[in-house]
Amino acid sequence: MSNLEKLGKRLDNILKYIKNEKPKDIWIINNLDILFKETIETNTSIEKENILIKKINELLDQYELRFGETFKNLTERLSTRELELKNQLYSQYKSNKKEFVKNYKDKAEQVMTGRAIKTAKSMASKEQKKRISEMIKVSLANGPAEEINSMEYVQNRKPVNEKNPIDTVRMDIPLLIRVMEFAKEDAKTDMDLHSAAENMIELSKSDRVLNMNDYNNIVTPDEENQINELVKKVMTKLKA
Amino acid sequence: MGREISPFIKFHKMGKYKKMALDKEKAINEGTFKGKEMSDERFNEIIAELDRMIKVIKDDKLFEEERLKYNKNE
Repeated sequence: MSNLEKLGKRLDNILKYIKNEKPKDIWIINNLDILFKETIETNTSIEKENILIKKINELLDQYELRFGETFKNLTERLSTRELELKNQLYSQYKSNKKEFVKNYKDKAEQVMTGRAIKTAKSMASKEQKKRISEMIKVSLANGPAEEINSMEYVQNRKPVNEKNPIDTVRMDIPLLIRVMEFAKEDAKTDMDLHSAAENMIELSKSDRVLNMNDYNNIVTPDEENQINELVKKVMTKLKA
Repeated sequence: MGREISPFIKFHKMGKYKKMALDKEKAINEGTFKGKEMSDERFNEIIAELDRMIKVIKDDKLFEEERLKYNKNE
């Protein structure tokens, strides 16, 4: 992706953010719209174009700094659960905005967002720890897992009855485009692609069409697998 | 000859600024871009405007004034 395309994509994200969260700041986009269009429509040297791109990026950096967060934080870096918690907390804080304004004045918005993100991360982490401890308790209560290679297990195992016996994945077009973008731009190794494919297969087991809401679960490491690995390790140590 | 764009792309709502940038890149690659030359004077004006906006965004007071000014005009 060229620098100009990257800038275009960044402007799109920021436009979306401003429209949803900070409509009063639309003047920034309106001013930039004219300048960006002029950069696009006119013939400039590569050097001049790069200077303009750098300057607009510098402006966007300053805008991001103003709110003490990056736009990526809101959409990409937080997991689905963290984002959900963050939105819930932010709504709670918003209903108590007067108190924040009294204490933090013009920085109230920044504090509310920052605190919501921080608390959401901490809550999500606690939830995960609780899940691990519950899984360990269940595993200990049920005794050691069956040896899958034993004759008894092979003879008694139930037939596979999954909704996705042949690995197939269905997804809508926006997700298809995004996944292709991920494969072209973001995936660093073959393992990233394999991991994303495995996550898509896993998500398809509920026999549904995947959409953009599933994207974070496709490209982020599978937490469930990590937890299972951890439980296995703990169980092995306990057995020893 | 540039690479053909997949027909599926039309179903995906791409952001308008990214699309503008892509269209320009495509036109340049295909040799069909016909933009007017940007003068040095205009280039300097744009840089000055961007510098002014950066200054406004950095300063709490100026930022609030600009917000009010714009929203009043709207």
